[in-house]
Amino acid sequence: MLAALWWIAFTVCGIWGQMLVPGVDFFAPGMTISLRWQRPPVTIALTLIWMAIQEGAGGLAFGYGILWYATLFLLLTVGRWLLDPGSLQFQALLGVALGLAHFFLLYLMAVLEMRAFPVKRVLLECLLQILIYPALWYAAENLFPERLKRHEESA
Amino acid sequence: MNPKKVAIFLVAGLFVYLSLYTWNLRSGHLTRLSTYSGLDSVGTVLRPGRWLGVKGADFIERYVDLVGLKQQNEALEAEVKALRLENMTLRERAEATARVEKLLGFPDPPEWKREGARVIAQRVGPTAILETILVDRGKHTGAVEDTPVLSVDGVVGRIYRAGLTVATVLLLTDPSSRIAVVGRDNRAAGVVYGMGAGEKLVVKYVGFTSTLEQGEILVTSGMDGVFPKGLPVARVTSVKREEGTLFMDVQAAPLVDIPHLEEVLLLKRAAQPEDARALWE
Repeated sequence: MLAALWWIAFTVCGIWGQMLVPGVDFFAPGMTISLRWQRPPVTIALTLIWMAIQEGAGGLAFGYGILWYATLFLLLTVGRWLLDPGSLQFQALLGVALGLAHFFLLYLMAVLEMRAFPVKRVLLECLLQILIYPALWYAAENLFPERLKRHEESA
Repeated sequence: MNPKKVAIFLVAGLFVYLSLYTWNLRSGHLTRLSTYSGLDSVGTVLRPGRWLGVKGADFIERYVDLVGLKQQNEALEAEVKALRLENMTLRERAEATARVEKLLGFPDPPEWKREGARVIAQRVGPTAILETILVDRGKHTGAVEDTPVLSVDGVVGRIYRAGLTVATVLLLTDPSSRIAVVGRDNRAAGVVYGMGAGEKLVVKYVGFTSTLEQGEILVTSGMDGVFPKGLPVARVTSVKREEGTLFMDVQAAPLVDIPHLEEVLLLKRAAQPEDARALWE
């Protein structure tokens, strides 16, 4: 119950954040936290919900969300082998990678749909994603209830 | 993990993704599904906050506006008188035009119904690459794709994607927006292209020999089959004629202050285009 409430509050705040700062994904830190502390089915369900929100509210045909969250999953999985996923340095690096991924994925989707690609605006959004992601992760990680953390030894 | 397995997994994943993507481009099922689930849930979350914001702002404005209310009232009364006079003249002309059209056997234009909608957000999310706004009307209230959207100043755009209770409006400034227009005074025809947020609109295909003046208002011509005829779209800001070309180089500015839009009007066709066809048979 607490987990459901926490994730609903996170999603609502994320939607408001995305409304205030267009072009930035506020759910990405949630996926990182969910992957670390929650069971895989929870992460899958949350990712599907967030993907539907991103795709539904956005202007492109369905497809970006799958690539975006798959990229994040890959980066997290690979990064976990090399670095401590609980460190801010790792999350800052992940933010940079996500910023770059946002540019390339959006460019790819715009080309596939033959849409105009506003380079300056997207670059600004990438920069915002780079800056916002670690800050959001830090805030959410610290606000995530201790009771909901599924530690590996107890899992 | 075995690198070979990883490679097979990645290739299989890519194959599945591309199959899904192309299937969706043809059928649109996934896009529709995400519109009905994602777009509507975004609307559900944003609408109460927007409502509170608007109510709060109204409450404050009501007190601020009391200052200088008398002067404003006098100015408005004078404006109403001028508008009444203009309205009287225009009504006469409209009735005369209707009589002439009837005499010449013109078919009646399709009727349009207006419906107000509140703007609940501008672009939302990382995939919001298009210049759009979200409004609190969807398919439940008859707002479907390509429904014209306007404000009291002029054309705003058209509905690009409609959920059940929320719709995304493609603004006239988006590079994929095209609106068929004519000059209000000189009737030079062209097509208004969006060039992105904060950029001037470009009017293409205005014939070299046409007459179009700086400051002239461009209105919809109705030739695109989306907008009814006669809605103001933009004001011409520059007209250039270059030798050796068939068309003039025309730029225009939208009449609508898009970043400050709070309410819009949706124009819904009373008769479907299929019904309208019967008029010509």
